[in-house]
Amino acid sequence: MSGGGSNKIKDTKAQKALAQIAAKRFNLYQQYYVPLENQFMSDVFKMNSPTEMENVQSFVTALQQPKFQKQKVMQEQQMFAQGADITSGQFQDASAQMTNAQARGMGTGTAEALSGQLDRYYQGMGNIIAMGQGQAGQAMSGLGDVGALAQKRGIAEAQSDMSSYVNTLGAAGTGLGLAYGYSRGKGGYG
Amino acid sequence: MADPTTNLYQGASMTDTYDYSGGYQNMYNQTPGNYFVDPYRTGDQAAQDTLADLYEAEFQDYLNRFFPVEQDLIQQMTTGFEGLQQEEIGRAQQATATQYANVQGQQARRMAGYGLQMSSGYAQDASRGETSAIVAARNFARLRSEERRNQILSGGIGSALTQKSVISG
Repeated sequence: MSGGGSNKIKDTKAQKALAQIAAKRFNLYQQYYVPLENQFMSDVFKMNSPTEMENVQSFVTALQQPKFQKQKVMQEQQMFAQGADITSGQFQDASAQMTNAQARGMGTGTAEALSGQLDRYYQGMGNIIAMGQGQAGQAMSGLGDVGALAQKRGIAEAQSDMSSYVNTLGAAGTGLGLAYGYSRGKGGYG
Repeated sequence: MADPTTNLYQGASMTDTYDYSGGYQNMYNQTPGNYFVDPYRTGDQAAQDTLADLYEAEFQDYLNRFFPVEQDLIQQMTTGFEGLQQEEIGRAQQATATQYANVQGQQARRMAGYGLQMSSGYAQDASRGETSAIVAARNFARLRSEERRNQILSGGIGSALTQKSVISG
């Protein structure tokens, strides 16, 4: 260094040009991509906010509700068609059981969706970190995937609740028309 | 010096601030502003100097925007994990209880429509059902959060961090 600079290796013209291009590319990235990245980041940070969690909850409820409602109406109609007495303990038991199955299904379904939303948040965090490393990110689940999974779980829970009830009835021999109505489709004790 | 094609360096100076939207700054306290490199250095070592600037700017950008997120994720998966897990479990419980309350209310209104009241036996059944569903939901949330943490710790941040400090850091 102290030799007056004459022993320093000079950069070639090509090297200078390449460095210039690299600097310009980097500046372009800063100008055009960084704002996009920042937008993505703030979107991800918001994913586990209380507001977003509430949104997920109502989204899943809105998905599940009509399905269960429809099933309930159908089952009641079936009971009426078989001449079930609305004031009987049996009708009320069955109705209560259905309600319980619905509540269980919707409750666990919602819990599933909330955890699913957290999964999405962490997938996003993983992508941000990958971005910082200059790596490609992974695909993230959409809210629709979370909803579908929640519904699947909710229905499975409700069904297992329902079928255990039907089996108990059958075993106790008190099922009558009601149990017949439920189990017919499964080739049960009709 | 201005770039005749993009006029970039002149237009977007080092002191330019970028408006981060969505509470981004509040979250991690990042300094607003982009990092730009002077492409027009002169002298015999212009290329080397420019590259040195580039490395420096890249790393500063990483330190400013990404490192705080990594730190936060590490915190969430270590010291903060217990609290977050409890939050998730609590949320699952709350969601289940809410759904029970809603569905129970609907049922009561439905029965009232037939001129019937819910029996006390029914209320007991419902409360047993709710307890069991809440236990299921809580267990589910606990398992899910642990599973997620394992995934994040084993695949996600571990390798990313070593790469950063060795290669680009």
